[in-house]
Formats: sequence, structure tokens, C-alpha cells
Amino acid sequence: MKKTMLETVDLVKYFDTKNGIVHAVDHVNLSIPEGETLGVVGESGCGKSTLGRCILNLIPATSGQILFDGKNILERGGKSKDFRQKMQIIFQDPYSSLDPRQTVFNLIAEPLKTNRMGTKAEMREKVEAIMDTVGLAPRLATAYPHELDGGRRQRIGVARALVMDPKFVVCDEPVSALDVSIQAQILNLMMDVQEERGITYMFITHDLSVVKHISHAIAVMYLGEVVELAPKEELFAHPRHPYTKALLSAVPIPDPARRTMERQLIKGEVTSPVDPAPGCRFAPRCPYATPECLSPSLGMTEVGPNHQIRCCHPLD
Amino acid sequence: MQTKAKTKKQKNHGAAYDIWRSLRSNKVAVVSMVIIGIFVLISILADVLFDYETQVIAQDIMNDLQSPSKEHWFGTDSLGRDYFARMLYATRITLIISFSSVFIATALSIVIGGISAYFGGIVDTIIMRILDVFLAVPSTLLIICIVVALGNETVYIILALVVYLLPSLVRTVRSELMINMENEYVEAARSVGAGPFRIMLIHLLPNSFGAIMVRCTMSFALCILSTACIGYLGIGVRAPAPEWGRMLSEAQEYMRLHPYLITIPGFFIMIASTAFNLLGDALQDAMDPRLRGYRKMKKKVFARRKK
Repeated sequence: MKKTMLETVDLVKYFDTKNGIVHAVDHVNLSIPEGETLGVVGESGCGKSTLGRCILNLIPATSGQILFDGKNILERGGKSKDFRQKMQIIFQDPYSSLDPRQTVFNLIAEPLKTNRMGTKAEMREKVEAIMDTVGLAPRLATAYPHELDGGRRQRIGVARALVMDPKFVVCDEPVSALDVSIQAQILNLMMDVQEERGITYMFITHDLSVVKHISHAIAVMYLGEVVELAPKEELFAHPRHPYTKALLSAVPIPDPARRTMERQLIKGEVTSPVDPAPGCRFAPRCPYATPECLSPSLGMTEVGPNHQIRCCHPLD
Repeated sequence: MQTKAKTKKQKNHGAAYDIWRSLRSNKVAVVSMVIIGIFVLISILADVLFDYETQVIAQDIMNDLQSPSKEHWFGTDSLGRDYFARMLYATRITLIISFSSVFIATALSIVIGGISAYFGGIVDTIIMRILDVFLAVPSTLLIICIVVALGNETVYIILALVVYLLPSLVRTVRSELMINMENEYVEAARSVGAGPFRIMLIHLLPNSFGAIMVRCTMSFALCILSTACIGYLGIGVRAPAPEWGRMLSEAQEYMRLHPYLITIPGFFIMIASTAFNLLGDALQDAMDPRLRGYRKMKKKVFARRKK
């Protein structure tokens, strides 16, 4: 049994708005074993990015605990620098997440500089080593980000995250802004690094084929809640939650022979995350919904080894 | 591709070198810089070439209103003072006033605008409403009021100009910082543990620098014009010290017979303010690394098309 690197306990993030309370992250319980990758999938606006930012304390959580290596990081309040060295994030957009006025060297060295890690020579050595790891040529050290293509920019993003030698990295859709061919390069790079250094990833994405490639376990989110949590193979083979099933059937299959295959599509729009009704949030769109779906006591139930869902009508 | 030597050179010079290189390739910028350089040189040399007491303010009524000659390059004014010497000294006074006002106003606006943008909320509202009061008063009237109330010492003229420049500069700084704060790289910096000072100094200010610099150089032009304006109205730099605006108004009487007396200061005012405005524009292009080399690229494309 591997030790748990990161665990969230009833993590909640509500945003107070004029129209009511937005339940962006609602009682999320996740745990990620060391050296593994948890994929978090869901459609736009389901709170997956907010979850990632809450875990890094970039947005203060409303309530709940985040246990990093067994310690609750929210307890320490503002004194966040020491765990921040061990927890990093790779951003979605390699265009806006890099300061256009910094050279590649400065961008990668910034985490070291802000945390005063070592002398100038040591920093230079570390930056050069990490540039080599992520496959950036040394001559690019003096370049500015606008001179580089998306793939190289995202390599800078990866290098920034890795230069501190983190234990845990939140990847917030790191490849969704890239070409498919470059997506594969970056994903493989991240997997190689994981193998080498035993880093734990939380991989946020809406792209199921990406998540299939990189994850060990997958959490499916819908309107701020985790609706299904299972190991990768199990989830793809036997989705038990109607929403997961619909998501999986929406993945394009590159096979003309199966073109006519029936797809199970979800009808209707995502209901509002503002003051949601009690019970299953997917119920208004769910083909299997019954009145008992709206009972407020609905929680995660175990349906198999490491397989949990939040549903009263699990599929077979 | 870049040679190794070139890479090294860039490393040594850093971002300032890149800006300089880009400015150098812009003809308008070079001409503006040369003109501003000449003005600066004049202000420095004025003291060396002429003695203030005997040649600039000492009257010599016998030799009044002489036409330009070998002894008096720009002729003499109605009190027989050498117009060339007075022009040089006037340049010096105007530049000193403008530079001090712009420098103080910019420094203050970065502090005030930074506080306003970073804290936001009630602090921001209070600062902006106070500045709105100053913006509500017509600018020339505001300068005149301050100078008349406090006296036309150079220090008070500078103070008046700072008060005049401050609202627009603070607004520029504040809005630029606020726009840049929305960028994801600020969050990226925060995620690696950067504090507010680092984010402000390393990320926000350099990214807002272009717009602030442009405002600065434009403010320079505004200062030159405002100084001349109050000088012309007779409440500017105290006589007998020479000043462009005052010289304009004094020369007005003799405009028909001695048109050069009014043309020369007018020409200086125009050239100086235009040069600063154009330099500001060129600086903006040079500061933005994304625009760097754009002109060269355009040239190359055109050359290729001609072929």
C-alpha cells in the first residue's frame, strides 16, 4: 500500500455572489497515492479548476481540510511558503501564464529566486539541468516567450513547476491549448518525469482521451461535486454513474465502422451552480431520475473496489 | 540563428540593450533623441558660454533691438540683452522645471497608483475621488491658481505642474496595473510563492512601463507648454530670468519689425514638445518585446515584394 500524498476532506469552496451562493466545490473527498496521477474530468464550469486552485491555496477554501503528506495545510493560514515549494501548478494557457517581459531563464528561475534557494551559480546550474530535462535547448535561455511556439512555452511552464523539485503538481488542463501532436509530447514528458522523480499529479482536464493516457484513477465532477471515482480501467470499462456513461459515449471514436453506433446524449443544459437543489445535481438531466434522487441524504457509496459513485440508480 | 557571441552580448546588456537597439533603428526616435540631446547640451553649456549676471540679465539700452549679427547671433531684445544667451538660459530653466515636475509626478503616481490598484476597494475609491477633484478644475486655471497663491518661485511652479500632472499619471499607472493584474502570470507568480512586492516590481511595473513611459514623455511636452503658457501670461518664472513664454509675450510688441524675436522662442517650444511626444511614441514600440524588430520585418517584407 502506497502512502497517501494528498487528501482532501470535505473540501468546500463557495463563492458569494449577488444572485446567491455558487457551489463551486462541494464537499470533495479525494485522495491521491504517492507517485500516481488522479485525473479530474468534467465539463466547463464544474469547478475542477477551482478545486485545483483551492488545493494550492491560491484561492482560500471555505471549509474542509487539505492533507498534504499527512499535514493539514489550511491550518497554517498565510504561512504557506514551505508547502508551496513542494506543491506546484502547471497552467492551462502557456501564452498568458508567462510574463512576456521575462527571459526563459528568469521565468524558470523565478521559483528559486522567490524562495531564495541557493546562490546564483547554483540557480543557474539547476535551471540548466531542468531545461535539459524538459527538452529546452540551452540557447533559448535568453529568449522571450513570444519568440517560442506553444509547445516550448508549455515546456517552460513544466520547467517552472519542476525546478523546485515538488512532490505534488496540479496540472490545470496543461495541454488543452496545444496541438494534438504537441499534446502527446508534453504528456509523455510529464509521464517520464513522474517515473523518474515519483511526482504525484492531479490532472485536471475535460479531454477524456488525455486522461485515459496519463491517469491511474479518475474523478468525474459535476457541478462542484465528485459523482464518480474509480481506477482508470474500471471507469472506462464499467461506468456506473449515468453522467459518466454519457461523458464516455460523447468521446469521438476514430473508427468509421462504428460511425452509426448509438450515442447516449444528455439532454438539457447544465443547471445553475447557484444555490442548487438538494439531492443529485444531475437529476434534472438524468434519464433514470426518480423522486428519491432528490433526497438530501445522497452521498458517495462504494460499488466496487476503490469505486465510488454518488447516485441512487447505479448502472450495471 | 544566433551566434554564440551575439547571445553573450545580449546577456551582458540585458533588456535595456534591446530597447536601445530597437530605438536606434527607428529614424523618428533617433531625430527626437538628437534634438532632446541638443536641448540638454544647451542647458548644460549655457553656464559655460555666457555669464548670467553680465550677459543674460544685464540691460544695455543703447544696443536694443539689433538684428542678428556676428556678436549677437539672434540679435538683441528691447532691453539690449543678447537674445542667443537668453534663449540658451531659457532652455535650461524650462528643462529643469519640466524634468523635476515629471520626475516627482511619476514617482508619486507609481506609489499612489500602485496602492490604489493593489488594495482596491475603499482605498482606491478615496484616492480616485480626491484626484477627480483636481481633474474637475481646468488645468491651466489650476496651475495659475497655485502659482498665484504661492508665488512664482521655481519650486512653486514645479509643485503646480506636479499637481497638474498627477491625476492623469495616477490613472494611467492604476489602470495599467489593474489590467496586468488580471493576467495569469500574476497567479503563476503567486503560485511559486512570490509576495506582493515582487509581483509589483518584477511583473506588474515592467509590463506597465511602456504606457507609463509614454505618459511621462507626453507629460514632458505638457510641462514645456504649461511653463511657456504661464510665462506668457506673466506669472511664470520671475523676471528678469529668461523663459520661452515670457520672451514670446515680450517680443509681441516688436513682432512687425523684428519677427525673429517671436519666431525663435516659438520655434523652440514647438520643436521641444514635438520631440518629446515623438520619442514617447517610439519608446512605447521599443519597450514592447512583441513589437521589437517589427519595423525591420516590415521593411524586409516590402523589399521582397518589390522584387
